[in-house]
Amino acid sequence: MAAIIRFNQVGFQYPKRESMFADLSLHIEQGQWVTIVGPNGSGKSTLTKLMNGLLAPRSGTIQIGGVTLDGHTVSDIHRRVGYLFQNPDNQFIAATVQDDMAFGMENRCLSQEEMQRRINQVSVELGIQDWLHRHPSSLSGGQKQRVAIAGLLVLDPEVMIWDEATSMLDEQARREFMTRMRQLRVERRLTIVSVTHDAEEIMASDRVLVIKDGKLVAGLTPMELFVQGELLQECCLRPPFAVELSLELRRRGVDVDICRDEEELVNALWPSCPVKS
Amino acid sequence: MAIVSSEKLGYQYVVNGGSAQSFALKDISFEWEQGQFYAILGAAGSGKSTLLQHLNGILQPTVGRIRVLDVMFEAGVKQKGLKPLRKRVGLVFQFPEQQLFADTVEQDLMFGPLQFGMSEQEARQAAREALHTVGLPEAVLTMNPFQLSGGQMRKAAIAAVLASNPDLLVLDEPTATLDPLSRQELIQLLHRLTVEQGKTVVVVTHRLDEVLPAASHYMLMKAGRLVFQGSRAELLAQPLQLQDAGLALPAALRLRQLLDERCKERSSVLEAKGQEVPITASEWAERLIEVRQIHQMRKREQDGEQALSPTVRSTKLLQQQQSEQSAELGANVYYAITRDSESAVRSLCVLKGEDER
Repeated sequence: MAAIIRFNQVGFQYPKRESMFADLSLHIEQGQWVTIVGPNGSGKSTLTKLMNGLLAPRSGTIQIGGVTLDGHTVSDIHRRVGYLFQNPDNQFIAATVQDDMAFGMENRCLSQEEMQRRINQVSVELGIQDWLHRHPSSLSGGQKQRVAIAGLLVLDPEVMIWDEATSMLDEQARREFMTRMRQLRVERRLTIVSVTHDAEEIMASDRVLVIKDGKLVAGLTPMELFVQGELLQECCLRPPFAVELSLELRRRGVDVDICRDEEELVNALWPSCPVKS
Repeated sequence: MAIVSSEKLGYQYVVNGGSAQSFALKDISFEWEQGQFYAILGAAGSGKSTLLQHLNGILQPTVGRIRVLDVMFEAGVKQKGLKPLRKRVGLVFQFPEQQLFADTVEQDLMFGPLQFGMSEQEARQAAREALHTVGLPEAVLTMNPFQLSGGQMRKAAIAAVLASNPDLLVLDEPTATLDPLSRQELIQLLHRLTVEQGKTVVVVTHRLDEVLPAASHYMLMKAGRLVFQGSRAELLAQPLQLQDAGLALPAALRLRQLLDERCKERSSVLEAKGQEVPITASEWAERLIEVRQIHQMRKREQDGEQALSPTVRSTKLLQQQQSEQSAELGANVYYAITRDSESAVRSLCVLKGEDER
């Protein structure tokens, strides 16, 4: 599979602060769902902002789909790589939800009809039809994030970056959203880069990149990460409940595989139990 | 006396310049006692945040009434001069950056105490103590709040509220956007405040999982109404209501349900223990091992019984009884189960025990 995002010896530094990345190289394959984890202040968000040109590297090169990110290509790359912020208030511009969704498309010179079509489609998808004429600030935190996600989806991006983006969604909305993301990824061959602390979200991804001290220290599967207690602690993470419980059981001498969820765990503990069809 | 009590509280937002009205809260009645940890649960838009804003008069009821400490808010009566109340009710909003504004963390932490009439000296002291309570190092005092990490900012915002020494601490989604370790720490910190300082803590959240080990009382909101209030055990007995209110079941409850569905026998053992549903992974590990052992023991007994003739079985049970007799008397009863041969042995043993006495 081709790499859609490639960092070659990237250096980055915020003004008047210590260097964040000196020589960072990594790549993310097209269609993959990649989670970025690391200790607080390790530069996870900085890394994702470099990916869509919100920040510019001091040295090295960044390529998106083979195109090198520079002053000429940055606006094109903005469109191809959607960025969803942690706090949805940072994402709103217009006075109504609908206008806000239209804003990004207006910059892409789409026809009025096409814009309306996309707004309708995405608002139904995300269940926000009833709010289209409301002011974004009149929505609750979780509702705002759904609107922000809609504003991104109408642009039909190739890569989506989630910077702790689902942390304000309630559980049901988050789960629905995750299901939808899995679907979208398959349908549109979407690449997802997610910065998150959520165990379930990490578990849902294909690959985890661990960033520490400005370096890529590990690239592994979610399960490989969750069984490394020390690394988890460093990244301020906790494993999913089923993994934690499997580990607790093993610690007490019970011979059980490490399970991803409660269902797997019950099956592993009592294979003779009738499995619900 | 309850420190907050609400009677049929309702709140109507006025939209489109008064032409349309929508109820954000309806018919909310409850009482909160001092020193307790309350969790208000509900999905996005259920009215949790609207309710919070009634606690220090940012919003005032349009229907019914709510008494907070010694201030009564009643529909139609606009309360003013709320500074004394606001000193005693600390509100921490969803995003801490909304609450921090000064050049240094110290100024932010001293702002409340100074506003509420403390001297410069006292305010400085209060700021330090609050910082210590939330576990931030003194070095951050001179820093700009916006240099802090998300977790530190959250703690600083809570410290800024604690510095005024409120009786009631109300936090709106305090753990959102924090990493899991900081979340756990924060909930533990809030729990300590109730136990050690007798503060009343109210947390609005949609993550039941993380408040479960700490909160003693729960309120469940749905579409502006209070659909449940009660203890942890009562809440956990209502999985359908939780799902109906748009909440994810906590992992502990999911596991419990799976056991119920799949293995009636095992879950009945859980119940027979007469204990609350285990919450943490280690509590669950202990309990599952217990359940397995009991199950295996029963199975062994059953298998053994089937293979042996009634006479041999009685003999074996007798031997078992005798070997355990020295250990403890209470154990006798366990093996006295139902079948014929066993009943026989049981009577024998009882007689034998009486003889010995």
